[in-house]
Amino acid sequence: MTQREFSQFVTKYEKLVFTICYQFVKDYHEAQNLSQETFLSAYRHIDTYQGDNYKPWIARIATNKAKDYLNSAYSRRVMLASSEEDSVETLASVKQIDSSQQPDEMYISKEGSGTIEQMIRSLKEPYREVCILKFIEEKDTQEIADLLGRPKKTVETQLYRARSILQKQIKEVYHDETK
Amino acid sequence: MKQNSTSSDIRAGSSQPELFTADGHLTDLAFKLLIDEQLDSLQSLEVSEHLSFCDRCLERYTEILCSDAPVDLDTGQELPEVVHLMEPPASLHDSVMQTIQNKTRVFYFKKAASVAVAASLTFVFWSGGILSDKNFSKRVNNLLDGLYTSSQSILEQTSEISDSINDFFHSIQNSFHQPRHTPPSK
Repeated sequence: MTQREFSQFVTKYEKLVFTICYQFVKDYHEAQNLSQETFLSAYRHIDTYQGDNYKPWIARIATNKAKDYLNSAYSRRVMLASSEEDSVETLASVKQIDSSQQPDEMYISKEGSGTIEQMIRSLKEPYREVCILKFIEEKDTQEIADLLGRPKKTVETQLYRARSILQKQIKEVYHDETK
Repeated sequence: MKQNSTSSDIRAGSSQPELFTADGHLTDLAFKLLIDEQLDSLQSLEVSEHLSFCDRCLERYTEILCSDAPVDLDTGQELPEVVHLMEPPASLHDSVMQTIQNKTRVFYFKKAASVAVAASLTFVFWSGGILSDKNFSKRVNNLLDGLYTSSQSILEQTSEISDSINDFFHSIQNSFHQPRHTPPSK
C-alpha cells in the first residue's frame, strides 16, 4: 500500500480508532497517542494482512493498544498498592493464597478447601471458568486456553487477577472469623 | 474522568454489573457501559482483553459504533440522532503521516549512506594506488560493476546492495592477506 493509499485509510478509520481508544482510556491526550500507535502498527503490517475487511482488523489493533495501556497502568497501581499493604500486613494467613502461589500449594495449604471452592465457583466471568479449570479441575494453562478459546497470556493474567480477588476474599473471611 | 482505587478494582463483586454472559461473551450492558464511558479501569481492562481475541464481540462492538442508526441497548429502539463515533483531533492524520514519512526518510537515508561510504572507500583505494595490482583491480572492477547494478534497484531491493557491499569489504580484507605481486628482477 502506498503512502497516499494509507493516508486515505487513516482518513477513513481515524474516527473509529480514536473512539475505541477514548472509550477505553477516557483520556483525550492518551487516546490520541494510542490512535497514532495503532495506525503506525497498521502501516507496518497492512501489506501482510490477508483479509479484505479492514474495519475489524484496525479495531482489533486499537483494542490491543488500549488493552496494553490499561494493563500496564493496572499493574503499576496493583504493585504500588501491594507494597503499601505488605508494609502493614501482619496476618500470615492472608499469605496462604498469595498471587504468585501455585494453585496446588494454595489448595493444600488451606484447611477450608471447601470454602475456597465455593469462592471460586461464585466468581464472575471472566474469572470463574478459568479458576474452575485451573484450581478445581487442575488443568494447565495451555489446556485452559484451548478449551476457552482465549490466548494463553490472557488466561495467565486472568488467573493472576483471580488470585488477587480470592486473596482479598480470604482476608475478609479471616477478619470476620477473628472478630 | 472517574478515578477508581485499586482496592475497589479488586473485587469478586456480586454487586458489580454483569459484563459477561455465562458462556464468556460480553453482555449488552457491557457494550452500553463501555460506550457511555461508565466502566472502571479494571472493567475496561477485562472488556478490552475479551475484545482482543473474540471476533464475535468485536464485530458487535464495531457494528454498534459504526451503525448509521444506533440502537439503544436498553430499549432496543433506534436512535438515529446519536453519533457514537468521536471526532479525532485535527492533527491526528497529519501526525501519523508525518511520522511515517520521517521513518521512511531515515530508512532510505541509511541505505544511501551505506552506498556512499562504499563508493568513497573505493575511490580512496583507487587513487591511492592500491588497485595497481592487476588481480586486485580486476576483482574491484567486478565488485564495482555489481555495486552499480545493485544501486539501480535500491528502491525495490535494498537488501541486494548490502550483500554487494559486504562482498566488497570482504574482498578488500582478503587482498590485504594475500602477498603483493612483485615485478620480476632484471
